[in-house]
Amino acid sequence: MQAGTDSIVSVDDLSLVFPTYHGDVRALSGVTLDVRPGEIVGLVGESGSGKSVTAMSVIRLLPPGMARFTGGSLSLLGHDMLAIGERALEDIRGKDASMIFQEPMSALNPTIRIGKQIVQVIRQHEAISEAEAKKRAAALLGEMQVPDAARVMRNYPFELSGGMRQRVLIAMAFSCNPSVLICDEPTTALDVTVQAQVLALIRERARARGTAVLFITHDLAVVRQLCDRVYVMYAGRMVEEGRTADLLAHPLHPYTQALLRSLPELAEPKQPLAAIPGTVPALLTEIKGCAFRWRCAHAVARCTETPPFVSPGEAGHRAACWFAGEIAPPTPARSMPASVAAGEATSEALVRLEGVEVGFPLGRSWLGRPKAMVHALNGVDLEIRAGETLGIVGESGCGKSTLAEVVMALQKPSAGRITFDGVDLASLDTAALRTVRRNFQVVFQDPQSSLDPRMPVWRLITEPLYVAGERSSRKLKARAEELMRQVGLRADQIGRYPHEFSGGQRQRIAIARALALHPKLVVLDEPTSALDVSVQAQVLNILMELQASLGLTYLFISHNVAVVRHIADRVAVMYLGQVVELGTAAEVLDNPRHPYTRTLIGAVPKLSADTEIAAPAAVDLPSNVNLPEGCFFRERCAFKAAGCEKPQALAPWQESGHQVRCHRAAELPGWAQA
Amino acid sequence: MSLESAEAEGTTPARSSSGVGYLWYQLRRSPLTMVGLGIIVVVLFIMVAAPWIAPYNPDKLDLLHRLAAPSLAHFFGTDEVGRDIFSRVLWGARTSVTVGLAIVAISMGFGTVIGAFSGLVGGRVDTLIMRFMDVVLSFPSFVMAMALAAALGPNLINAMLAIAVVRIPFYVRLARGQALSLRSKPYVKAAMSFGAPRVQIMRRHIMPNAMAPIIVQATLDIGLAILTASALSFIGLGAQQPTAEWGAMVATGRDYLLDQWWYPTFPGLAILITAVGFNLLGDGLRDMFDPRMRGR
Repeated sequence: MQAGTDSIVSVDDLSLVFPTYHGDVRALSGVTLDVRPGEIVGLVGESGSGKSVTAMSVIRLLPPGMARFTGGSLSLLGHDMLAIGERALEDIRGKDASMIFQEPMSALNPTIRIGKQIVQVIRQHEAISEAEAKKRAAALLGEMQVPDAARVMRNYPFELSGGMRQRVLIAMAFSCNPSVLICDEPTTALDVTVQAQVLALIRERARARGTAVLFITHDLAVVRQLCDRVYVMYAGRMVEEGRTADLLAHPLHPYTQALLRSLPELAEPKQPLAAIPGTVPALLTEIKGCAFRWRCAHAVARCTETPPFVSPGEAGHRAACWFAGEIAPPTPARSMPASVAAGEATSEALVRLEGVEVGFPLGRSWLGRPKAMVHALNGVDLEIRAGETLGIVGESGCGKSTLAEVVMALQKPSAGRITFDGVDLASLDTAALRTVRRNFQVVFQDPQSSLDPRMPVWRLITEPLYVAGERSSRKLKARAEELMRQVGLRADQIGRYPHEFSGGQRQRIAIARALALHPKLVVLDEPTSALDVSVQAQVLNILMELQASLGLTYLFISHNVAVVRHIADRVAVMYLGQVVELGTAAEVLDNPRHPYTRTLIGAVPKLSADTEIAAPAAVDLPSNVNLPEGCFFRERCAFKAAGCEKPQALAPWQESGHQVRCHRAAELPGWAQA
Repeated sequence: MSLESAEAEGTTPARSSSGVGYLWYQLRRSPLTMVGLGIIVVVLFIMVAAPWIAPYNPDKLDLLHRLAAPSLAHFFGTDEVGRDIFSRVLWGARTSVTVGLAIVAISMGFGTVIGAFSGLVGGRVDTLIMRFMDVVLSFPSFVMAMALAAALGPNLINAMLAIAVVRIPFYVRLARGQALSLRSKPYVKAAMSFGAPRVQIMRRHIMPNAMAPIIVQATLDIGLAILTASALSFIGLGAQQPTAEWGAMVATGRDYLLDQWWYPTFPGLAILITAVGFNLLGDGLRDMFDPRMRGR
């Protein structure tokens, strides 16, 4: 084994359990991992795979009463981390090893100024004066490309954007020159353009300072962009390790292969995805043998014995599978039989928005007049055609969710007109509106929170029917059973509660609920972004099937460009409450003409690209309280020229239906990205 | 051999994290909460079994043994008319604890419904209700209860009602806060998007999910309610002679504190221990319902 003195972090055969009410959860079973000086190591896995637990164990961040180490060893810079005392730990944390978390708001103290927080970290570990520490903090912020560092030092965390906060945390993490930086999904809560900036920053700074990085993520494309080496975890054990390019190009373990196959990036648009069947096993009982065998297409009797973690071919690339190297890696460009007929979109508009504006008052003066307005939507013209999937793409604050609320008649526009099947929604009284609303249903992002935890599934699914006046439990249950079957769940489980289902199953329940009243339009508000990749594939498949069989129209809102590219017929890109580009998915996402769309797509980490993505400049989104003059994207735009100070109109680019809100759309150079 | 099905191995355990078994599991892990629970079980047992375990009739006078010191015949001694204090403390549990529970039930019931409604509806109705509650709260609650009890006439039922009314605003605030946070939960939004009327949302979604912290508050309040009822009895606005009630016993025993210390001390200890018991349980429940503790 290469594990030895040269490793900064060395985890060997580590096992850990969480004692719970249900019994001991075997969170880690014999995990082995090494981080060597100066390298960036990725740790990938789905939720519950044990990746965060592994990382937190490295600096012993798990509360002592909560977790129990049951075997193996763990060393950091030669310290035996399992035997070390609390005082020594405090010295190591922050100085030798520091950590960056997912949610930058909750990792900063909201009541202390940024500068002071950084100074505190520095002075905790080094005996230097306040003034010196301050100077160092300012220099650090500058190094992290924080504009106007002196001002930011005086700010409180809530005054900064998410991206800026994450930069502050990175500055803090680097403040004492740690040997290793542990990042736990540091970009998951950020928008893609900000994610690109933060990833570039971590990569550059780590390289420049020779800091080793252990980077935890669920996103294989991020790993591809950032990491030298990668470990793949499943059910609390390591299943594969290798150099990033090798591992992604020639995965050895069936799990890694299946995971890659289930990505929409690598599939033909609108075709069913190769989802991994089943769910991750519960870790309450000790699993002997391979933990993936129940979901594995290649499983045989021998898989009940624990496979060794070995390298079949080139050194450094190993997998815990009896057949490592024997199973053919997936072929990315598959042509699956078109079992799902693409939803035949008619050109008939089901919902039409004309010049829709929505503003929210921001505080009120004592006369009741709003002090300022948040302009959530600024003149949206859009039609949703019967039977199509219209994808809405944009970053947080662009008005996607407000658009959904307006379409569902949950939010009244402050200007403009919305018609459904030719009927103006504004002309309807409350009772008529309630009837019309039955045609619109919504599936929310997080099935965990969109299902009332205290209701059995049949009540949840039939809630729209109950609201509509159906009170007979027998009828409700019958409909619930029918809907359960429709979304691929077992009808005999309607008496269970949401927590007894996995994330993907819960999202199916939410979909079943949305279908209860036979709606025409289903708004899907980030329906897969809270789900793991393999489960995302299952849910996307079921959505496509249901659309084909029930003739549904989807409004699919997502920040995930790959998912939208896969499922949408047409795509609208939103920026600051406006549609900036509109056309078929292929037109908009494969050949973007608006500079913003290009920025957005360029920032998405790619699985295939060998080139590291260039980080877009660190600019915050303009405020939607004080709208910019002229083109809203002007300040961030690389193609700014005379004429941009005038308001732009959404105009057809060339003669097709592809519309772009940019007067230079035709002048932009061709788009050359895979 | 056959491969086990993923269904068998892969599904999440069917044991609920909100059932009675789970509560018991959590209780066992916290010794202080167990102590509180133990005290309450003992007190409840005394309430039920008082007629059988009390050695004497609590109201029986025995003028020959007035103000007797604790002995084997009278564990807690006797009072100024020779009644056995031990028996009166046992019987007093019935009155005092029942009063405490009733007060909390009334204030929790009204407070929760008003608060949940206020939070869900919002706007002007909410402002009106909450300002009114602020007015009630701005009076010192004991003085307010005293005034109400005096106005209604000094007896135990009126004292109970007075204290319950004074406690309502606390539950209104709590339930309103819950309703406000639940209102923005996606499942409530989902129900709204189906066009569910407010009453239905309140009954089906808000109330069941808002109960945990309210129950904790109620448990903590029982001790306080017993104390307040005792205090009202102490100043003569609650239970009247010859009812065996802890507060009233302390009140009359006060005059004998220097020479016959046992007279006010034992009923006082009964109040103290019971209040501590409910508070320990309440604290334990609060920790248990802490979302971060869920499932652990």
